[in-house]
Amino acid sequence: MVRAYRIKFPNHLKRKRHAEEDEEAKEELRSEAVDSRDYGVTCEAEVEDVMEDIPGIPVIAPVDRLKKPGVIFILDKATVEIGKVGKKHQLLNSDEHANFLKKHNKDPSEYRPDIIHQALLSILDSPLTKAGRLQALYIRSTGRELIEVKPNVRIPRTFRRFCGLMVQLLEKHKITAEGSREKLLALIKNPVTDHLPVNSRKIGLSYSSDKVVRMSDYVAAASDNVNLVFVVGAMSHGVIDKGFVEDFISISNYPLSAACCIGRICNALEQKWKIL
Amino acid sequence: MAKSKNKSIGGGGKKKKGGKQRQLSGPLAASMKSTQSTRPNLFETLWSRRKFNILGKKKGKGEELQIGLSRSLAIEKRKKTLMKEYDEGMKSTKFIDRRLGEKDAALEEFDKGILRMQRQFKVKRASKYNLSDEEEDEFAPSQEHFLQGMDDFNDQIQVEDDENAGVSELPRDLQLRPGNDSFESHSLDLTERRRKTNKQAYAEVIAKYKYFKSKRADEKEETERQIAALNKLTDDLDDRLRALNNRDLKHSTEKQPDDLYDSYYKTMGELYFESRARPSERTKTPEEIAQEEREALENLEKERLSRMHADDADEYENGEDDIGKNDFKSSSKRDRYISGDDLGYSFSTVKDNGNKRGWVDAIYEREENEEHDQEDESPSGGSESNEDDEVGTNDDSEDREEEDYSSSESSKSFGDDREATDDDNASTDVKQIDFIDLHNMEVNVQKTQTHEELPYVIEVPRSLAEICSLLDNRNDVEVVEVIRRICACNSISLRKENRKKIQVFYGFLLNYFAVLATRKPLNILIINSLVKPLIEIAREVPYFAAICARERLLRIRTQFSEDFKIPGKSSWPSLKTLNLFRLWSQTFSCTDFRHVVMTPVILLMCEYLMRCPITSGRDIAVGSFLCSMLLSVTKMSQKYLPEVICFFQMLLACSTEINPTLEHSLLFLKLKASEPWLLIHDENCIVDARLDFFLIMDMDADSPYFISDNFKASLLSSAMKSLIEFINLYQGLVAFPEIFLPIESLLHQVLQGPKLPKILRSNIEEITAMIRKKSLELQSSRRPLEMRKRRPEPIKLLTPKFEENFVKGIDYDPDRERAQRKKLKKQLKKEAKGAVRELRKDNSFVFELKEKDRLAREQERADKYGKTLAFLQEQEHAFKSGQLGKGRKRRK
Repeated sequence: MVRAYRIKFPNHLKRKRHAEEDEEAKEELRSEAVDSRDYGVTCEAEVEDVMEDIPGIPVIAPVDRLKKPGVIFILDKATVEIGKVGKKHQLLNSDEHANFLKKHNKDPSEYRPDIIHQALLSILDSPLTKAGRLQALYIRSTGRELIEVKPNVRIPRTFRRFCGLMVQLLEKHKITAEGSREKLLALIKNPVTDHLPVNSRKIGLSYSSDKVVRMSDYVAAASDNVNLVFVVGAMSHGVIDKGFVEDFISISNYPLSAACCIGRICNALEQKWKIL
Repeated sequence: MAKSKNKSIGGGGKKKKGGKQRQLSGPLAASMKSTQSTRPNLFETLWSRRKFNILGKKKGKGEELQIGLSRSLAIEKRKKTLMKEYDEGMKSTKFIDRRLGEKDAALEEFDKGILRMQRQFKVKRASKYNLSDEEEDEFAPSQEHFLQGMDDFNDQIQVEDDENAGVSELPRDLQLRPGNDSFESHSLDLTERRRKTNKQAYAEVIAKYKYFKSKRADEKEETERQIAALNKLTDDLDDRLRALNNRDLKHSTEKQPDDLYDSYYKTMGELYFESRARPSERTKTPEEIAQEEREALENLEKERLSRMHADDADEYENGEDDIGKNDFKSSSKRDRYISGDDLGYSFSTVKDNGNKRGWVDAIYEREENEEHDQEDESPSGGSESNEDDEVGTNDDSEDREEEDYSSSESSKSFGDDREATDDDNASTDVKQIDFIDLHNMEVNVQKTQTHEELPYVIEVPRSLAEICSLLDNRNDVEVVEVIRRICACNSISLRKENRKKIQVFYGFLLNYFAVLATRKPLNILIINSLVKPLIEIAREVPYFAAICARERLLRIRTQFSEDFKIPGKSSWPSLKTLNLFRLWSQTFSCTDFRHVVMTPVILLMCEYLMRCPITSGRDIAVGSFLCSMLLSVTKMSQKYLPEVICFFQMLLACSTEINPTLEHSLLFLKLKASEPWLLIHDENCIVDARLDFFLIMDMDADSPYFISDNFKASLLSSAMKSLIEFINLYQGLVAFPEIFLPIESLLHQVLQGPKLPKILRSNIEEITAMIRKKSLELQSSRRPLEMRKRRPEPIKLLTPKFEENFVKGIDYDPDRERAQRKKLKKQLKKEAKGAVRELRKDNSFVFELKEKDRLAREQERADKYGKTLAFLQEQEHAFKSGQLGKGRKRRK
């Protein structure tokens, strides 16, 4: 009997088959290459000699990207909270919703999503991030929500749009990229320590700390094998959660804004890793 | 909200609980209940909690769930429905409730009671206790408000007051019996009356319309009549007014002779004589212009011929005047474009042409005079005699004063040029002056002897011999005139065949131009004058000109390569070749990236520079001339010519004593520059930057002039000049230092030579400084070669997809259909899940019931078994103990 129709394979099976075929082809090529190499060996050797002879051309080994040490940021005590103002859901913010917050017995001065916006921009715009050294970025909100921000996200530059983004994030629990299904922002499970790599050094930053350090020295002293995790407060008043912080430092004699603090850290790291 | 919900949910069996919740709600209720109620179900008190709290949002549809409560409610419901079914399913007999109204859930308890009462009254006593069947039940349950239907509101009430009856009757009728007869008749009456009035109204309207129409017509007639009368009146008035006005005006002018008015009239009077703008003739097409020119020439020729036959001196003079006028006209016609702004003949733009003619006339006159006088030729240059003659003729006619003035100017400029060359000659060599003068004299003699009057219509010459006979022994102006006339008569725009003629003519003219350079007494003036017409003709026949040039180039090239093979023969280009090069470089565009003629010309020139060995000072002069020509050619296109740079190096090497240190760098130069041709021995020699090239070309290669220091110094200085030009030309090149630094070092060597004239020395120093400065600049701006230099690539950023005004529950898919489908699918899934869940719960409920039954049955059975067993045991015990008739048996 002859089959009336072609067998339809599911996609994943097809993919597997293609991969196998590719490998076979490669092997064939390899075997061919082995044959031809016998003739080409001498030529290649000569070429290498020439390469060594040419003065002033340093042969640099391709740098492995994976080995580069990175940095992780955690923005603590962020106030990202949605309120139903009128009919719409909006990100509560001290400027626009002061009356609304007062009506609900909340302190308007605590609702400062603009701090997070600034902090996010200063992290994601830094050359450190552009160079791919930012490993991860988390936001812990006061409402116990944990947001993971991917380093390759382009945060909206205007605050209005940022608010829209956060509202949708909190409503849908994730934000995907345009044109692909890659998650750029997502609400993830607590606690944050589950998401941090094993050999990480968690450093909390606070003006209240007695240990005032010079950031560049401090960063230079840290070894590259340890993943640095900086916990920066994104609130207007108060101190960050000291629960999992190993080292509690202050990097200035003055109270700094979150964005400024992050800028200092990024600068220090860029200097250390020679990112221009 | 919670209260009402609870009420709706908890209706019926759960009334007890609902009642309690009606008073208390939320967590408070839960705490209260725990203390108050007898058997509190703690699960029922729990409310569902939102995971993400939204400030200001009330609990929505899906969020006000009390999961415990709803679960127990569901169980209750099942008990009522499913359990009942289960119970009844086992039974063979069934009790059906047939009481009144029990089937209708909408009926209230009170209604039910009333229904029963009514039925009780209706049904006979005997059958009082019989249950009614379905059919018997007359009380239609379809009527919603049964009791309302039985109300006596609509019954006719026989009221005592009759007066009011009429009033109240109608509305009652309207309300109750819409289909009443009396009402219908009444309404019919009404409509009839209305119809009648309508008819009347229409009649009325028509009558009115007619009336108004006639009235309007009358009015119109009336107004027209009035208007006519008024018009008559106004016409009379107008006449009178006009008369009055006129009288007023006269009065005013007589009374007030204003200054302003006066001046106005004055200017008006002046302007009356001014010429006004007149339309100019339309712009003529080139064909028309050519045609006119030709006609003018033909007329002139006719006149000339007639003159020749008549041979009358007076007429001749008149004719000449006429000619002057005619020619003037023709030349004015030649002026292509006369705009409306033209100022008329007083400011003619045609002056130049007129002058030229005047110049020619002057020559004629002079020659006439000369013929008459038969004087000996003065040893001075022809141009000077020209001037003298002109001064003489100036007195003759006042009409042509202007022309003569300008012509004398032009001749002066010619003379100046000549004088300049003369000066050159004087400065260089005294012998040369003599030679030049002699040559000039000869030319003049020829002119005077063999000159005839030029014909106006000249046929195109058919061969080189013809053209030679035509153009030989003419002076430069005449030559130009002859060519102009030939071209005008055979203009291409006139006839198609003329193109071929002109092409042939161009070929011969070019040939003639080339031949002129080979003649021994070199007539530079004629060569120069030929250039302009040649270029003009070439513009008309560009394709043919290019072909000619290419052919000649090929020949020159083959000649060159043959010459080069013969040792000892100078292969440098002859004056003829150089002249042709110059002509072509002016004829064709030099800026083209690739040109049919110019590219090979440049290549050939470069080849000359590169390959020809220097055997005399003359060769060097030719080479430097080629260099300057190449400069003029490449100035616009900025092409880089390495041959020129090489030649300069060689030239400089020639001007130094051969140095052993230099040799290694200039190996190839050594072959060519075998002798220090340009080494200057005298410090006080005269440096003259303006070498006369034609003069040099005229001299023999081994003449003593080339060894003189004067020649060397002046050649060097002119070479330096062109070198500066080249430096300026190439200063933009990146390789500038590499190109010019060797030259700079050579210049240093030249400077080291002890006997260098001061001017030359300073000049060379300037050049070296310039080269050094520019090359330093360029070298400092150079950047080291960077391999693998690459900017690090930033990570690729992704834009998040989000809506600025996000509302939960809205699908922001732009494809509405897809969104709709998605929504329906979701709903379907949800429903299916709900159904599955319900079924599962039902199942487990039934299973529980069954299990309970089974347990109960087992229990019962076990009980029975136990009981039976107990009875049996008792029996056995009794038997064994002998209580049961054993003794009786024994007794038996």
